[in-house]
Amino acid sequence: MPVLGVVVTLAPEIGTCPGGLASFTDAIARTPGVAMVGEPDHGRLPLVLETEDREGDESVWAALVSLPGVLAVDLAFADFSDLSEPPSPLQGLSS
Amino acid sequence: MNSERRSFLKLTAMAAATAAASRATGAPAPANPDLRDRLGGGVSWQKAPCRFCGTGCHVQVGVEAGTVVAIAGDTAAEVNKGLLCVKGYHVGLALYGADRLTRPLLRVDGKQVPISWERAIGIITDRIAADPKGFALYGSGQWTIPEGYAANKFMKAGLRSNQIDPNARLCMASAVTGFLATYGVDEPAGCFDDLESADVIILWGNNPAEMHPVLFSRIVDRRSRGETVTIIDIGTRRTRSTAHAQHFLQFKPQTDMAIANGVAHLLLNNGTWDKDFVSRYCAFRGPLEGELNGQAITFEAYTAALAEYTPEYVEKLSGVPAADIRMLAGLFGDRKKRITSLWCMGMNQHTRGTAMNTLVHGLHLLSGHFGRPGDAPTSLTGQPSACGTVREVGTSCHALPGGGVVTKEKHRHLAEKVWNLPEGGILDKPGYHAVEMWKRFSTPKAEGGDIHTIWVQVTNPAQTLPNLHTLVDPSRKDPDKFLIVSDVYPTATTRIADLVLPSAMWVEKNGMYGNSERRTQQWFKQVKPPGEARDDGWQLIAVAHEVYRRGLGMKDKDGAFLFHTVDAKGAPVPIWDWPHYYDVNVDERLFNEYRLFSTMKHKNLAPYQEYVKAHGLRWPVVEQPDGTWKETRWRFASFDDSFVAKGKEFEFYHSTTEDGRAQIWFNPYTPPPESPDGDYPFWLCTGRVLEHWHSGTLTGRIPPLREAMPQAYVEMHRADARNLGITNGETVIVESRRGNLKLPVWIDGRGSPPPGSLFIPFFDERLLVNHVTLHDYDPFSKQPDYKKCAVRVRRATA
Ligand code: SF4
Repeated sequence: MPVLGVVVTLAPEIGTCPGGLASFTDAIARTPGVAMVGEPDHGRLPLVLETEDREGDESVWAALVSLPGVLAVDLAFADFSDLSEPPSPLQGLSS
Repeated sequence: MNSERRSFLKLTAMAAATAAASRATGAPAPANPDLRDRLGGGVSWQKAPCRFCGTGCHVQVGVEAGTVVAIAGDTAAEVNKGLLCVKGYHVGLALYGADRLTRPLLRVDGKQVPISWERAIGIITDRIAADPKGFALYGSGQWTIPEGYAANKFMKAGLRSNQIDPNARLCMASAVTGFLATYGVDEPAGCFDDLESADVIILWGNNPAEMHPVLFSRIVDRRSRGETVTIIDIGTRRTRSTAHAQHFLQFKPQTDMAIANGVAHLLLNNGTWDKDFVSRYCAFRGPLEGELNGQAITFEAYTAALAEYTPEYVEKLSGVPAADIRMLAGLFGDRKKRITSLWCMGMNQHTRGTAMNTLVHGLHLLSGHFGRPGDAPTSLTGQPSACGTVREVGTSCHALPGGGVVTKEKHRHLAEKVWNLPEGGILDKPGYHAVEMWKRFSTPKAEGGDIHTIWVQVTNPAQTLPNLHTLVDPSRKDPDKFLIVSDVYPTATTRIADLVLPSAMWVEKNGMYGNSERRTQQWFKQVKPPGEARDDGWQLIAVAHEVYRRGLGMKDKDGAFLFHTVDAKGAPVPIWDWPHYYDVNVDERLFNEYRLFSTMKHKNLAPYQEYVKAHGLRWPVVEQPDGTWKETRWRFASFDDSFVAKGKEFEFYHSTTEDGRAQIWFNPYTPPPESPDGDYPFWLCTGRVLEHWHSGTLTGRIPPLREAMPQAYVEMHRADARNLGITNGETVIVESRRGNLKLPVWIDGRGSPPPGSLFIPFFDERLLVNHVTLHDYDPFSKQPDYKKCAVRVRRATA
């Protein structure tokens, strides 16, 4: 169950166009595994991601990147202390 | 996981994200959130730079019970201000692949079987003893600074041989020769702070959105704060960076040279060049065959040489509309604007890489866009310490630490003094550059193949060298040749090795890196390496001692071991003996010796302990009267660089003309060595992708990254696919005059090549694109061109 703290950089028009921010935060609220933990600060929005497994956090990350108005998604914190299985060898390789 | 701990984690994630969000907006640095308290006290936290790209982000590494369990962006670090990209996020997990190499392995009857470290060290020493001159070391921009320094001393002082070269030859050698030819000294004058002050950022064949994501975030952050920053992407295909650019100038491969000349032409024609800056601080230079420093030319000759590069002529050569050339020239001609140029592999992996680098420097000098915050020509590096370990430590076949070269007597004398060698102890002839080294390794001895053994550390040449059929594969058929590879995971290179040595990586050892803005960073060992894996630095010193013990070298002029080390009380410490390697801080001992070289070219470094306290310091780092150490953000500019003579605004104090002037070069556009024709009608470009770092040996072991980008592909334009009857996902054969590759087509994929052009990423070792690429290289930097060759495509089923 990875827990991530991420920062989303928003396009300036999200803050300036009427209703832009509200519809953006609605879209965030509808994204499973994502919690808003603060207000945007100069276009930077802190979020917490909590997902079932590492594949899950990758798909949430991809969903965030693809939201209209998102310029970038960066990581601030990641915990993987309960990683149940170590990463596997490269597929198709003989070692 | 119990719910209390999970709540702690969420609070920690929240605090870290909130702190990073406010830090990135320019707010003063908050302390790193108190991660120790929030994770319940069992987790210890320490700083380290990220293991991946040359941005050099700092992470806080959380360790519990001897395992890295958490990663946080370091809010106190200027480079990344608490943020990390998707690769930095996984940097901790990269330690824990299930197939880590944990024992030395020797090839016996075709199989790699475990052996002891003692035997491995003995075998390497036997290879050296048989013929020291034919023994070579192939290293890396992922070596730590102390490791690279140990390797350099091992070869150049210990074996009196210059047969050492790094993989950085393949990635940034042309940037080095470009800086040398322009300023007489390597590495950017500006720094990443320029990204916050620039009005215009020009990407010359560069895709930082995928390759240096945190740096790119620093740029797009400014837009989210309402600032205006214009991004101009000059490239051969659309990338993720293009999506953020106001202007995309798509050029035909190799014609970036014509574009740069076209802009210079207009600056002169329009009278918008900076006459004052040029007359006081610059001179003009033109090419002279075989001479990196070319020849002096007059301003009139420079103007005449550029006369033909009218916007219309440049449009004809490059395909970039004349209006866009005029737009670029207009920006460069406006002194009120601040312009930063960024480049990486597109300009460096180029058969005219040195020339192209000089032309971009020339535009900044000619227009006076130099030496003010935001006005800078800045090259980027892909490896975490290509600058620190390769360019500064001098782990190339021609170089010495601190920017020295073996061909200069004064530089050799300094090395002989620091290493306590007799006069003449350093050879004055460069060894073989990377491509030549591997060619000679792959050539039978009777036919001139005088390299019999290569020891590879921290790199994967069987995947990353060009034209593998020529440079790597033949060596495996010759019983006289012997390949030694130190690495952390099985790779394309370990699989063909005769001897494999398991290495410690990143926070499994002490280390120091130098990022792309001259920032030297330090970290401590935080967890143990698995099994019998050991530091690359220890491996070198253990072999050095065995060579010394047998009386084969590795001694100074008084007969002492070159890596002789004492503890705080002056008692000798046998650091070649693994249980004693961490009895002292070997990094501190090596770094403090290395820094004695750093004043020669004004690359001054502070003592080791200063780096322990800091999140990196940018050289030159100069001691102040009060005993503190000051870093330098803008070199050659009097407002920040203490080495500029009093009363001068700028001074290029290592000028090749020894008069304080930088060189503005003219270099003509010349066609590439291979272009599409009737038989091979497509251009092929190779490169990297966001999810994978270089040859993918680390990122390929992280399931989410591997699943996000599971295998290589060929990007193709929809119109070409239609003409060839190829559908999306269909397997095709891409074929050059050197080799071929079978892989799926991705139409309208991540990047968009124009019609007649293809792109293949090089991370996938199951699909080695370097069987297809050229091995033609730049005449000065010897860097190969992976960005353009001619290929054809056919359906695999046809
Ligand atoms: S930008 Fe580079 S240094 Fe920074 S986190 Fe990403 S890979 Fe690491």
